Parts: sequence; structure tokens; C-alpha cells
Amino acid sequence: MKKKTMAMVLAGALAVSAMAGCGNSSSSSTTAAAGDKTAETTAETTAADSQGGTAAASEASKTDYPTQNVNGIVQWGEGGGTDSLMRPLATLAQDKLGQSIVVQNMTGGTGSIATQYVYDQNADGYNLLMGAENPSLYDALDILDLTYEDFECVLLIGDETVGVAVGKNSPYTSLKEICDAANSGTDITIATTGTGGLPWEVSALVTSITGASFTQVQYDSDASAKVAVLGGECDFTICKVQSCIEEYKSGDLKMLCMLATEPVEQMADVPLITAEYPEFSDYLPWGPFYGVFVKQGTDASVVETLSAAFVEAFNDPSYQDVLKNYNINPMGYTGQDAKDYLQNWRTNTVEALTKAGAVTP
Amino acid sequence: MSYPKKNTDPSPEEKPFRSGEKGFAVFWLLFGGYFFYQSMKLYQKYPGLDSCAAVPLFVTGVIVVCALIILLIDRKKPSESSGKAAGEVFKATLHTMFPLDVLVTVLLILLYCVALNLRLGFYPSTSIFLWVAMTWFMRKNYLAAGRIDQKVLVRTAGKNLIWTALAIIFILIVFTYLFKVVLP
Amino acid sequence: MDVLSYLLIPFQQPMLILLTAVGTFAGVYVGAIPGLSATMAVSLLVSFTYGWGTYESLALMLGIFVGTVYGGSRSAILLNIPGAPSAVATGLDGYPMALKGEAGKAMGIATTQSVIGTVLGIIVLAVAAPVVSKFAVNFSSMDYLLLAVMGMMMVGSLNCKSIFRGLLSAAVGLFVGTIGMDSMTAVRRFTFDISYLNSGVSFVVAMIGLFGVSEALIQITSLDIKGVKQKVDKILPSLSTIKKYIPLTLRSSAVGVLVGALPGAGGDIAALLTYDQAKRTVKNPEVPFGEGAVEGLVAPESANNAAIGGAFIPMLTLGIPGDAVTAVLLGALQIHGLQPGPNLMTSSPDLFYVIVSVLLVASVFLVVFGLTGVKLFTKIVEVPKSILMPIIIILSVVGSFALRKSLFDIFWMLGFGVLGYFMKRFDYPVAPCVLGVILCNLLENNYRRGITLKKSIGGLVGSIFTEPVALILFLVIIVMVGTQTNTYKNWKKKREEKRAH
Repeated sequence: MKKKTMAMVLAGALAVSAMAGCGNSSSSSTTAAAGDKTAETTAETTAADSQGGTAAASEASKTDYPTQNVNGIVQWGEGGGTDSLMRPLATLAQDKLGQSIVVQNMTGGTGSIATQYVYDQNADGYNLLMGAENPSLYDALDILDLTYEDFECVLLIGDETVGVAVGKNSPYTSLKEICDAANSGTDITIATTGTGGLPWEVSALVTSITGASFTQVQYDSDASAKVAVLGGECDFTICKVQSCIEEYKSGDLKMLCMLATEPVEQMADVPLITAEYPEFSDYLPWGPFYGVFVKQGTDASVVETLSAAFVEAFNDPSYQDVLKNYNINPMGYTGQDAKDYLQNWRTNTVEALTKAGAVTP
Repeated sequence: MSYPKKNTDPSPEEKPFRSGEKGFAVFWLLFGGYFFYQSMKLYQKYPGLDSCAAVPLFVTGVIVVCALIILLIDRKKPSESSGKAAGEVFKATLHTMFPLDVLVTVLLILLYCVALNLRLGFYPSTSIFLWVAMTWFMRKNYLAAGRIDQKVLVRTAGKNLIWTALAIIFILIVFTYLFKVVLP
Repeated sequence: MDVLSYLLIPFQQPMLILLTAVGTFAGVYVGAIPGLSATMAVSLLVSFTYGWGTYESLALMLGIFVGTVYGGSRSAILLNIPGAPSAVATGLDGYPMALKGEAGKAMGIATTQSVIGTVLGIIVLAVAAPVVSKFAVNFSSMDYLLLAVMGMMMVGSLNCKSIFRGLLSAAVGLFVGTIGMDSMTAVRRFTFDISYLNSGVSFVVAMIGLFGVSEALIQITSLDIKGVKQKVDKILPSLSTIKKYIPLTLRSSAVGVLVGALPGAGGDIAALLTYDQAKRTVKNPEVPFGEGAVEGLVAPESANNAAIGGAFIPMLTLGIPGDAVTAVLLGALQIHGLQPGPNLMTSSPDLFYVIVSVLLVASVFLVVFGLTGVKLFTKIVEVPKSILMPIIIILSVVGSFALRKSLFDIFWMLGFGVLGYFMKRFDYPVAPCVLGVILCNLLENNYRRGITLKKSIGGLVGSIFTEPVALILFLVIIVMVGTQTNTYKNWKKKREEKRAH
């Protein structure tokens, strides 16, 4: 039947295009071969594995790295903010690297599942942790004993500006009004994404400075928290620029203030938080950030190769466009610059969280 | 259940009890009870209606209550092993739980898990599992009155090899090539 | 007539049509394999199509989406393993039909209903998106809780020795759903310091084990009974058959679109809800539900496909995904420089209508690809059990591994399989357990949010009467419970006896 032949042809077309696209030809065969032998990418490490690992590590130090596919493990779900930043970057970087970067998502535990997984693998540069800012707080939150201090930063992509958002029918016109109401006993609800998430972090910062505390209602994601405020179920939430820019333009959300040192380009008329609370400038600039990491102890030349590839990808104009679309403040830090940023961020945030009583030292 | 169903089949409410069915409720009681206790401990750590322990407490409580009710309702109902000695009941239960074929399958599965755990490789372990399972299931073909019929055995074993190969190839193409899933 | 010109764009660029076809075809087969999900496939495509044009990558991804939602029904019908969570309800009547030799008929119905559902969902998307999205945004935590409760009510309508067994099974499922790191407070529950359990028990793993492997083990106890010869003459249901079920199809699709449009719920919940509704509203099916009732296929298949159109409503009008796949699509659109949100329909109307158009094209291809290969697939059920069962077990193993690349997932899946086998052997229904695992998040999280907002159970219950949507849902639940009790059944019997006089 004609339909059947057309179906066969299409199937063939897909198979061919998939094989052609899904990585360089060498990687397909190595993956199949690796499937027969002991493979590198499972959670358990046994004697055989570490043998293969040390072999790869010594190979890598001879700048033969990479000789097979590299795994990019994203901490958060498909289609989310982190994922959408990592996939185009990986697609661009794999060309510079010469091997496919296979991006997978391992969600759960505020990103700790992915973090633990990458840490459990060999420090050979074949498993990358692609994450957001949450790991910096794992030990403070008693989620995990690991933080970014246990990893080397390949590339720090950038950070985001966040702000306070309320629904369009909200009676509050400024953060001060919200805090005053909270301090005088009104029950103010903030839509959060759970302990360790962005709204939770900022809520602690606000509490540490204003003394106001809010009833936290946890939702599954940034998007659901936004819906809660849109629909009036909660009083306010903390939004990244890219999450709320469209609703801001249409008037469905009102932005009360931004946590930044300068006005945000697309939201020029939204005041800065320092206008009402100058003490906040101690913490700014502050925002969620995104980066690519490998396990600490990975050979320096491997890290350099990775950094070079990712930086080139980062500088690609198409990726810069992506960053712009997502309203990310581009950084592109590697090496010591990245280390400094991470340390600063961690110290500041933990200090504020401790002051707010959100974490116990 | 195996189809097609006949009109004389009893309705669900009237199906006879199998050996071990009533005991299964005891298993659930123990299971529920243990986790109810764990939930209580969690609740003491995190009290409150909207805490992370509230729902587990409620749910495990439901398990315990239901198991108790089931034990009560079913106490008097007749079962396959009604009125038999304890030892016989035990044997009958084991028989219901593990008919020979299922026992063999479960053992094969266990061996398979061990093999995977020991990193013996997915393809060899799977091929062996498939081939052994298929050949065992078809033993009626070549086991007649305790003697092995050589010709049929070879034919059956051969056919199973083909089936095994087909399955492996399918998995290879779809999972490894297209989706780049590196199998253990 | 700008709208018309936008709708016609795919037809002016044949490449888009080709890509949609390829996507739909791939989707049907990806969906049919348990463990491979639409989300996986679409995210792979996001990386793969990074340099492509927006419409081209969309065409491929939308095709896969439509294909997988339908494809999940294939393995549900043939092997009792839902290929996708949206097909859980399909297997409840689809698999018994296959066992009776009617796999072809089942797949034919699944295909036509899926296509009709998809089209209906698309129509609502095209015509009423802003209205529906307003409804979706105002759905509160209480409303979601009631929706989840409605889903759990399905426990009551399953046939089993006593309702307490169903309740126990459901409670076990809910309990399993709580294992892991709590998403709200990051507290570890019942993990016993096993780091693997921090992310909880994946419901796909539980599903594959409880449905697939357990069924394989049960079938192994009856190896001698040959598989029933499949009747493959009447695959495409006749027009009169389709007409007969139009009211049910419309109802189910309506529920499907609305539930799909809710950011917190998707096609899987829609399928479960409509299956249950069908069960309660179709009084005298030709074949009882659970044994091959056609209605048990019609309802979930049209609902889960209508949910596709529904899921796009919040995604395109609010920038909020309606389900996991639209979440990935959202990311893809943003990568390509588009900003779904309240301004999308005014700033990029062409995108909106191109999506509508591509979805329609995909539906057409769904008819083609859904009906071809049916004969080949039914042959699968005719393979001798001795060969098929080991293959099913292995397929389940690979499928559960593909999810998170974890060896432990395989072990847990097998564990669930053995548990499910015992449950079936001892006459405890397995479906409520899967139901519990699927609905646990929805139920628990919205309950907790409700309590946090209303401060007490009294306040929570009280809010039912202050919010219209909650009130309606609550009344529906009361009716559902009421019609099940014996007093109602007796009352109805008496009424019918009176009428007969």
C-alpha cells in the first residue's frame, strides 16, 4: 500500500537524520561498543570502573581528552530555566570539543540528585554538572554535604536579576507596604518553590533586613508560583526577569522593586529595592546564577580544554542572543574569577540566611 | 485470570479464596504498621497539619485500618485451605505463590539482577536470560516422560536463539543508537 | 483574514509537512515503547534542532508530541504496559480486549478517538484560548485537591472482592508516592539513608512493574493456554460505531481540554477522570467495564489527546506549561527568541496559528500511522507466551533503566512486579496502587497548600463554599459517592421496577 511505503521511507529518513544528527559518527559506534564493555555512566563505581577511569584520566592528561561522549547532567527539569540555557550551550560547545555532549536531566532534591551523581563519577571530565545556584547552600540547608566548593567551575554563564512581583489586583504598591503589613500582624503569603528555591532565599534576605516574616506557600515550580500570584492565591512572589517580563508588559503582574544596583533595561520604571531599604546594598549584586562544573580533582588540562570549548560557545553570537532572550546578565567567568564569584555569593547568602534565622550555623 | 471468560465464572465477590490470601492481609498489616510507626516519629519531628509527615501518617493509618477490616471480614469466609493443618496450609500457600514456572522466572530474574550488579554487561546477561527463560518455558516440547527429545530440543533452542537475537537487535537500535541510552 | 494566511503557512512550505509527518510517525513508536517518553524525545530534539528554523523544529516536536500520546495506547492494549502515563486508563479495557482477540478493534478505536480528541482540543485552543486560560489561572489549590480526590474516587468503581482491598491498594500507592525528599521542605521521608531514594520512587517505574512485569508473571502461571487468535478484519470502526459514541467522546474531550489546560494536571489525569466518568455514566455497556468495554477505550483516548490542545492554552497565552512536554516546548520557543505569554497572540499571531495548523496536520498523519501497522502489531500478541513473556520482562527492564540511567530503578521495578504479581494472585486490585502513586503529588501538595492558606481543616472545607469552582467540583464528588452507595442502587432498582409495571 502506498501509505505503508511512505511510512517506511519516512522511518528511514528519520533514522538516517537521527544517526547523522545525534552525534558524530565515531560517537555512535563508541557508544554501542561501550554498551558491551563496562560503561562509565552508571552510579556505581567498582574496581573495573576505576580501572577504566584511571586509564581515561591518564589519557586525558596527555591532552587526548575527550575520546568519547561527554555527559552533561542538568540539575533541573526539561524546559526549565537551567535546561534551556544549557542545551544550546552544549550543542555549540560540542563542536569545539570534538565529541558529543549528551545532555540529560536528573531532577530532584533541589538539584542534589544530579550533584551527588556527578560527584560519584570519576573526576575525568566526562561528566559535567550543569546547575543553578542552589548547590552553594546545600550544606547550610542540610540537603547534602557537597557544595560547589567540591567542584571545579568550567564556565560561569551568568546571573539573573530578580524582583518582587504582585498580582494586578494587589493592594500593595511597594515592598515597604508589604513588610509593614506583615510586621503589624497581617498574614502575608509568599509563593515559594520550596526550601532552597529562589523565593525562599530572597524571602530570608528580606526578613533579615526588615524583620518581616511571611507565610510561605510552596509550589512545584517558578511557573506555578507565578500562577498563584496571578490568580490571587498568594500575595507576592519573587520572579526572575525572564519569568515575569511578559506579564509585566501586559499588566497582569506588577513589579514592586528589583534586587539590583541599576534599573533593569526592560523594566526601567521599576524602582530598586535599595530605594526603600538601603541596607540591601550590602548584598547586591545578587541573583541566581548558572554554570557548568566538573568534580574537583579533575586534571587541570582537561578543565582547560573544557573551559576553552565552553567559552567559545558562550561567545557565539547565537548564544549571546539566547542569553539576551532570557534576560541573563552574561558573565562567562572561568578559573579564579569564577571561584571568587562563587565564594562571595556563598558567604553573602549564608550570612543573610543565618541572620534571618532561615538556617542554623 | 485467563480469557475468554465463561458465564459460569463467579463474580468478583464470590471468587473462592486461595491459600495464603488471608495471610496476605497480615503482611499488609505489618507493612502498614511499621510505616505508621515511622510516620509517627516523623510527625513528632515535624508536627502540623501541613507538615511533611501529615499525609504519610494518614495514609499508613488507612493501610492499617483497612488491613484490620479485611482480616475481620474475611475471617469466616471459606478458602482453599480451610480446615487443613498448619503445615499443609503453609505448603499450599507456597504453591499458590510460587508455581514452578514463576519460581524459576523469579530465580532467573534474581540471577539477572546479580549479573547486572556485578557489571557482567547488559547484552550478555540479557541474552542469557532470554534464551534460558524461553527454553525453560518450552520444555513441554522436548521433555516427554522424563526423557529429553534431542531433535526437538535442538530445534526449540535454535528458534529461541533467533528470538533472543531479534529482541537484542531491537533494543540495540532503539535504545542505544537513537536515544543514546548507555545500558549497564 | 490574516488568521487564514497563517493557518496556511505549513502548506506553503512542504518541508514543514514532511517534518510533521516524520515527527508523528516517530512519536507513535516512541510512545509505544514503555520507558521512552515524549519529554525525553522532545528534549533530545531541542538540542538536535538548535540551529534550525523555528517552524521546522516546532513541526518535528509537535509531531512527536501528538504521536506519543496516542502511541502509549499501543503497548497498553497489547502488553498491559502503558507506554506513557496517559495510557494507564486505556489498558484497563484495552488489554482485556486484546486477550479476547480484539486487539485490532481496540487499536482502531484508540486511533480514531485519539484523532477526534486531538482535533477537538485544537479547536478549543484556536477559538477559546484566552477564556480557558483565565479559568486555568484561577484554579486554586483547593480546586486541584478536589480534582485529585475525584481521581482517587476511581478506586471505588473498580471490581474487587471488597472496597477495602481497593482502599488499601490506593493507600499503599499514596504512601509509595511520599517516599523521597519532600519537594516542599526538602525533608527526607522514609529513605533510610539510601541516597537513591532521595528522588523518590518514580511512578513510571512503579507503573511498569505493577502493570507489566506482574502481568507477565501471571501469564506465566498459565503458559499452556494459547494466546487467542486475533481478529484483524475490522480494524477501522464503522461510521455508525463512531456516531454511537459521540456524546461520550465530546464529554471526555471537554474534560480533557480543561484538565490539560490546568498547569498542574495533564493528559494522564484527564484519562483517569474520564474513564471513571464513563464507568459511572454508561449504565449498560455491551461488555462490562474492565473486560473490554469499548467505552473504556473511547473516554480516556479522546481525553488524553484533547489534553494536548489544552496544554498549549496556558503555554501560549501565559507562558506557563500545561504539562511536561509543553514545558520543554516552552524552553525551545524561548531559545528561538520567542516569548510565549499574554502578548504572544498580538505580537506573534503567526506562531500561534502555525502551531494550530501543524497540530491539525499531525492529526491527519495520526490517522495514517495509527491505522497502518496495526496488523503487524496484533501479531505480537499472537507470539507464544513462552517467548513473549521473557521479552516483556526485558523490555520493562530496559524501559525503566532508560528513565534515569539507574540500576536501582530496574531492581525496584522488578520488586514492584513481584509485589503486583502477589496482589493479583491474591485478588487485590493493582490499579488503585498505580493511581495512588500518580496522584500522590497532586493530592498531597495541594492539601498542604490549602492548609497553609486556610490555617485549618475547617477553613479548608469552608473554602469549598466560598469559591464557585470548588463548590461545583465538590457537588460532583458528592454525586459520585452517592451513586455508589447501596441505598442509591436500591432506590434506583425500585424505580425501575415501578416503571416496568
